[in-house]
Amino acid sequence: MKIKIGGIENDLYACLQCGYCTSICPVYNEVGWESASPRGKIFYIKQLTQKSIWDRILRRKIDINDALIKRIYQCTNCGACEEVCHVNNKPYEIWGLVKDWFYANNIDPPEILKKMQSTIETNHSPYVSGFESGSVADRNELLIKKYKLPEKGEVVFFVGCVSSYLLIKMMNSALKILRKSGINYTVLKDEWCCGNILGATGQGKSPTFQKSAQHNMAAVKATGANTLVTSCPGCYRTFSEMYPKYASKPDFEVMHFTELLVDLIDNEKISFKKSFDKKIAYHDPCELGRLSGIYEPPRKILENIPGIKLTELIDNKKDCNCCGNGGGLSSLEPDLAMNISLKKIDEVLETKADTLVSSCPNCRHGLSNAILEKKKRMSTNGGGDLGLDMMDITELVGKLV
Amino acid sequence: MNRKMNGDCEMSKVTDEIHGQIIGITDEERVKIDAFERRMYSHDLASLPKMMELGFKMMPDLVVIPKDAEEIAEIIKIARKEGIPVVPRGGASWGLGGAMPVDGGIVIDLTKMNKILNIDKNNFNVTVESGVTWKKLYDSLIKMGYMIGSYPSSAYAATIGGWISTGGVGVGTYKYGSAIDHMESLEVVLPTGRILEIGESETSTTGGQDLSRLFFGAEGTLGIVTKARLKIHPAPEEIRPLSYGFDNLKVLSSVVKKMTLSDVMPLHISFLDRFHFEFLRDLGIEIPGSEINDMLNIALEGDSAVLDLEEEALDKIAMTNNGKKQENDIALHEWNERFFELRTKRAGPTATLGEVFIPISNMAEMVEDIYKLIKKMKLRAAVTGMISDRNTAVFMPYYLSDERKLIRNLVSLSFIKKLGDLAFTHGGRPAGQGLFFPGNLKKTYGPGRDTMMDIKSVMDPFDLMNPGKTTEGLTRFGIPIPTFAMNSGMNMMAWIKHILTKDKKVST
Ligand SMILES: Cc1cc2nc3c(=O)[nH]c(=O)nc-3n(C[C@H](O)[C@H](O)[C@H](O)COP(=O)(O)OP(=O)(O)OC[C@H]3O[C@@H](n4cnc5c(N)ncnc54)[C@H](O)[C@@H]3O)c2cc1C
Ligand code: SF4
Ligand code: SF4
Repeated sequence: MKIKIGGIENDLYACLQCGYCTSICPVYNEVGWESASPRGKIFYIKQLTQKSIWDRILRRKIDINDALIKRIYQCTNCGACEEVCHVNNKPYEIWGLVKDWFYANNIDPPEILKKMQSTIETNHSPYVSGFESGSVADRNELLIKKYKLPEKGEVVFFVGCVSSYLLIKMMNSALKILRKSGINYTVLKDEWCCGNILGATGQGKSPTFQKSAQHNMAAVKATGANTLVTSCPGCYRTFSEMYPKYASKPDFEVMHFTELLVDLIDNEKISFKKSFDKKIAYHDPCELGRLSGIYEPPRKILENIPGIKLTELIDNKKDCNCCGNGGGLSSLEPDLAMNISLKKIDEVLETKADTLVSSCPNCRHGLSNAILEKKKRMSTNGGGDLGLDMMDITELVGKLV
Repeated sequence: MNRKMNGDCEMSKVTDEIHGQIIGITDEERVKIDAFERRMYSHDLASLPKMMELGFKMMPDLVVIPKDAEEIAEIIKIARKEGIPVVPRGGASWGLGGAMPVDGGIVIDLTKMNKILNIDKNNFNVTVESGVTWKKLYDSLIKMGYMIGSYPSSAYAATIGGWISTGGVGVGTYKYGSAIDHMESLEVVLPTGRILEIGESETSTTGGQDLSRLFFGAEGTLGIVTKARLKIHPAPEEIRPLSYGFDNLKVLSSVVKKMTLSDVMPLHISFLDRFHFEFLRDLGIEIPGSEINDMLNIALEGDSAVLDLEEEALDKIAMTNNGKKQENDIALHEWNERFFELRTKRAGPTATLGEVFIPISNMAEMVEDIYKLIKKMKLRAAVTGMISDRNTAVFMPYYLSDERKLIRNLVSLSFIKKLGDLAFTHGGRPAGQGLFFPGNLKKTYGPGRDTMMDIKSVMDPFDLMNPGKTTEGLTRFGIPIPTFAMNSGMNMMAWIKHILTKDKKVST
């Protein structure tokens, strides 16, 4: 009768129900109902683990129902709740374990996430078709034909799905920077989706995720590289945290592109040929900042660019507000994700910056869409331009080296 | 009336028709009647055993998220017509069962009425909706060079309306007083559904009767606060935290007394005993400074030059009593931790907190008696607290237990009752009544309690505004919990705890 989910009991009991996490959670702040707040979810999960004869006597209906399942997946994995938690809980990791438990007990994730798994299984990318560079095979061919990259290299650049298929500009910029730097690099001959979305939604133990992990790690090995670098904080965490957790630990170093860029700047392997005379606001991607602790490298890069005026958002670094597109939320509930992104844009506009820079393709994608959406809404009101552009840090650097 | 079964097999007070009417006032998105969602609103901070549901119907029948006073007024009119209880809920961060129903009804979630409406720089006040959190207000003001004088240490979650309604003290109360001292005017919805704007006009110190005072500490039993105009102050040049270590809380108490007699006016004074730090260390939580005993934390606020003098004066008082001044990083750490007083809870994992007010002159005696009680009840406990003005010490001792050990946990609860008794013996009183302690009202206010009851019955004759709280103590069947039953039950539990074995790692 009692439901036992390993690894979370102490956290459930430690929770004070103080609601600090509630006040900060981007999902709760949009949805508005207590059941969407970390505090509320913890309360209910604890009830599940405490089921007893009393529930029957008192006719308390506590069960795993559709409403609960929906709420469990409704999380951007932004980690903001952890920052304010009274008792050092990581609520998003609690949902992580609950999702794993759901998977192990044949409780399906929402349809769209399940579908994503089968898409990744067959396509090795989360996208069905019709994007900038076509299929995985098309992208591979492009890399081999256009960039003529060698089979071996010391550093492997892992492109990631968003940069491969949705924001091909990001891929091209990164490759341009690597070429200019003169370091010995290459890409995977056949890069598969890293599986971040699966790991984040309880499907880390699925055969698809396992296959992706094995395939990608073997492919890195085949290049002889000792370092993998990626401009996607999602891929970064898949290699550094999810593969060790659900599959096995990679035997190469994993780096985020901004860390590499700092190295390249420090060792004078790249230099900025042009200046960029703009006022920039930097958005800390959740998976890079709060979840991986990488705050300084992107700032250091921006400070090195001639002409730039760097401003900070009022809530920055560990307090930076989520863009809304993590944890698969942009696929699961695009409207909800968009509303969170729009709030973020308002926050950026307050700084009067003219360029928003991030270092995550997912943020870049979601936030540029939000800028477009905002412009669209303004123009129906007879408004005009926002005076705000969005760029990834690789695009910006790629433009200037 | 055509009542229907609603989720959890409970008879609902909300019929389809009433449900429809409330949707009509608000909209479909902001009203919920499904059992899953209602369950979320069946509690506040306190973790209560489910057996409580034998006596109380803690699940609301409907939850609604209104967007303004007008919507609330219409909902209240329906509730009044149909005889349905209404429970206002802010951040639900209070632990005395205030924001949860005892007999079902409608929970009004006020957290989405969270706009800061106007910061008036010329008249030094701010107008806010009652669902704004104190943290949001503080941050917004500081950004513009202003500040609010005080706030509860739960500022991340506590709402303006919640702190006004619980009448508590908090960070900054020593210098600026409590929410009541910031209040210039309130907008409230009365149990009749009438919307009132009450309090002072723009000019602060006008004469005459100020009805807004009635709602301070009323715990949501007289109406719903929807807006507040609060005094603000210029942001100071500096807030300077200071920390002093002492050999024990008794010495610390004597130092506090001397400090309150001096002409230094700190923003905030608080204290934590060695057991608190021990629990933190047990949890492996890093605290700067290795030898922290009993700690006195003070925050000064104002012009840096003045603070230099004030700091010197306080140093002198502390040092002559063997106080050890702590490094700046420790003081700063302690100041930043002011929002996280219950970090130690994980070590329980259940923590139960009591709160009592004591005249400063009796602080040292109270310290001694609290430790005696802890020892007698064999509890794992720590004593923390603050000084809320020149003559009041607030003790917030807490004990750690494990709610999974039901009997042991339940009997430990009597500590809170005994603590209240100690407060009365030392000329003080427990804080707040809520669901659990209306029985204290008579002891605290004497005949004043009868007047409070009169006010309640005039303003809310059908007893629909947060029934069962503050002035009463009602179960779902409307049967009052008699004070003597509550008391004798608690005494019995204290006695059982006394004969049980020690809790692991007992303080003292
Ligand atoms: C870590 C921690 C620290 C705390 N520190 C302090 C402190 O320093 N000082 C202190 O006083 N308390 C403190 N508290 C207790 C609590 O946070 C405060 O009492 C807080 O002000 C409650 O606000 P809330 O919005 O959460 O109110 P709730 O818990 O939602 O409600 C409290 C009571 O007020 C009523 N109510 C709420 N909003 C309204 C409204 N708009 N109109 C009418 N009635 C309303 C409710 O019905 C209920 O009876 C602390 C709690 C925690 C967890
Ligand atoms: S990780 Fe972010 S979205 Fe998820 S529960 Fe925490 S604060 Fe909310
Ligand atoms: S902040 Fe932490 S302790 Fe507070 S309600 Fe959230 S999870 Fe629980």
